Amino acid sequence: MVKIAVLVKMAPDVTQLKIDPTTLAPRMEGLPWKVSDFDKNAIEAAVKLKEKGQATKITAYTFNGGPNALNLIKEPLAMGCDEAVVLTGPDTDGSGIARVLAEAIKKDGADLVFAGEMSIDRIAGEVGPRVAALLGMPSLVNTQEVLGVEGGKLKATRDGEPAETVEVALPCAATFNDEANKPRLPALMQILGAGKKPIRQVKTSDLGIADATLARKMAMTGNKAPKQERKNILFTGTDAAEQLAAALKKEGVA
Amino acid sequence: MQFQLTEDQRAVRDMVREFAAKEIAPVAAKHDREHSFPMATAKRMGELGLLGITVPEQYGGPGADYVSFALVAEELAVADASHSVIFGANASLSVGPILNFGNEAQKQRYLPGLSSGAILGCYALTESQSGSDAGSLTTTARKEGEHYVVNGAKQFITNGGVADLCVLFARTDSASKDAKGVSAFLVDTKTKGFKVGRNEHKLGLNASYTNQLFFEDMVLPKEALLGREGEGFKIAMATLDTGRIMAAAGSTGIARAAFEASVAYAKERKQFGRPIATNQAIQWKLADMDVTIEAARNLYLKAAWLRDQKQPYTHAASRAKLFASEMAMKATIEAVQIHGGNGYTKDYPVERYMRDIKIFEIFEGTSEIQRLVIARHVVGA
Repeated sequence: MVKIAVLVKMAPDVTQLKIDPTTLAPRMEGLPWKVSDFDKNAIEAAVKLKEKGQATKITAYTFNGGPNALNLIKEPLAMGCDEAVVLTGPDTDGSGIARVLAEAIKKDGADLVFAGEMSIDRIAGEVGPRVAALLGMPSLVNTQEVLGVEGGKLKATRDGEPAETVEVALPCAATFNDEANKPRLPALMQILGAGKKPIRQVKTSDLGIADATLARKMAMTGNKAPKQERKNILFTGTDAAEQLAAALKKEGVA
Repeated sequence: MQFQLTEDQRAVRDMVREFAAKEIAPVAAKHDREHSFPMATAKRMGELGLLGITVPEQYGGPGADYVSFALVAEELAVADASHSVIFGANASLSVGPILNFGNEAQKQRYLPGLSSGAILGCYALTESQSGSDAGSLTTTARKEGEHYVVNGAKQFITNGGVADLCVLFARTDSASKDAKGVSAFLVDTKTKGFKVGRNEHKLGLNASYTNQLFFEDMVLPKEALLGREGEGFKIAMATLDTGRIMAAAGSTGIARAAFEASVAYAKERKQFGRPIATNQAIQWKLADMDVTIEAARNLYLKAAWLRDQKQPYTHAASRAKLFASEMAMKATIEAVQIHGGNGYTKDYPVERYMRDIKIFEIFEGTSEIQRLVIARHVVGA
């Protein structure tokens, strides 16, 4: 009976992000939200384990996923998660998010906690290992391939040269990057069946977490895109090609 | 009035959009160039549950509605019109007759395979001398005891060369010359006497096979009859109504692809020191495309919605098919114009869109037949 908890973040689709040319701030209005890509690698790893018969139940957890979270959570369900827990509470930072997720998982119980290496919007990479620490679990980062669960241990390889093969005693946590696997595109049956799977809505207060304890200790005070300036050098004359080649060499391009 | 897609419809559309962009678009130009059938992506459409999208769960399908069906046709056509047509020949033209007119045994025998892509279907109505005048077909199915013996030939049959199952229309009443003597059959294409002729060399839709079919003393068991004897024309026409929604959605998809390529190109391409998108002449073309694509989409969605509500939709489907196909023809011509000389080359996809769209003004009822259908509703003739 191996139960897997998968951490899923809903994030703005940064591939559609536009930068305000004058303030250099990202334009967040109207940006669609989606399941953060790396989390899909974590979901895929969990679903594969279940398909191998080495896991019995997969629960997806998401916290403060925005107004559309109840709909977006259907994608992990369509991919193969059995149920979802949609958590809401006050705005908080990475340590607060980890605490909420850890409390929810503690209540339900899990043998494995899978998460994306980082989120597509903040790229902090802190929540997975933090949840592991709060649950007192060993934390495997940069997981490449899950080889299986055997004899109370998770066997996996870690990304690196050369790749490491590791064994971790359960319960444990693992984070995955976007090269770990190829997340599946759910078929129509799964998409249309996702709505029938159980979704539990839980507030942080239901978990006994007082709002005041979630107050941000870290806040973003500015977010500006780097200025991209072109050199705008025009080479003329019959030796323009040579000039360009010399300039590229000087820049270390060639 | 709820003027938005349901969450399920949106989820289906988004999945197909991702599938089409990631798996179909990269191979579309190659199959067009090589005139090759995209078997790998066709099978993937089956795995994803697209090929039998409206088939109920009890017969192995996802049981989606016709709005979803139409959205799939649009999304596939954005990446490649041929894939949209391969989808339609299976999900609409083959599945439809069985779903709506088949007996329980026929549904159980064919629908799971058509849904999963394990078997591909084709719809054989058209003959060399029987196009718009479908009721005049001359392929015969002569009853002999417990069997039918089929002789004749079909033309322009989508998926004909790759199909495992053929929905065949043939004349069972030799005395009749009109639609009343036509019956429908479900034919295993491995049946002795079933022969596949040439794959037509066409202007476009090169990745979709369009074959002649020949039947030489092909013996069918009486269980192959779909519906009742003489019901064939009714089955054919009912199927084409849904096919028209599919054709309208596919046209909208091709036009969208042409439009998106044109917007990107116009912003990128500089002449006289500025992007051509800053020229009003180009902007007006793009504005017209934007408006007419949206209008076409609303027309096909309305027709699909009516079908889902089990309300009459023949008129709406004809409107959508006529408007969308003619709109898309214009849009693709303008897309080539916006691309200039580049648009005329195979380095850009717009020439393919222009070649692919033309057939949408012809198949599933020509523009002229659509006007005839619409006019009958208007003047009540």
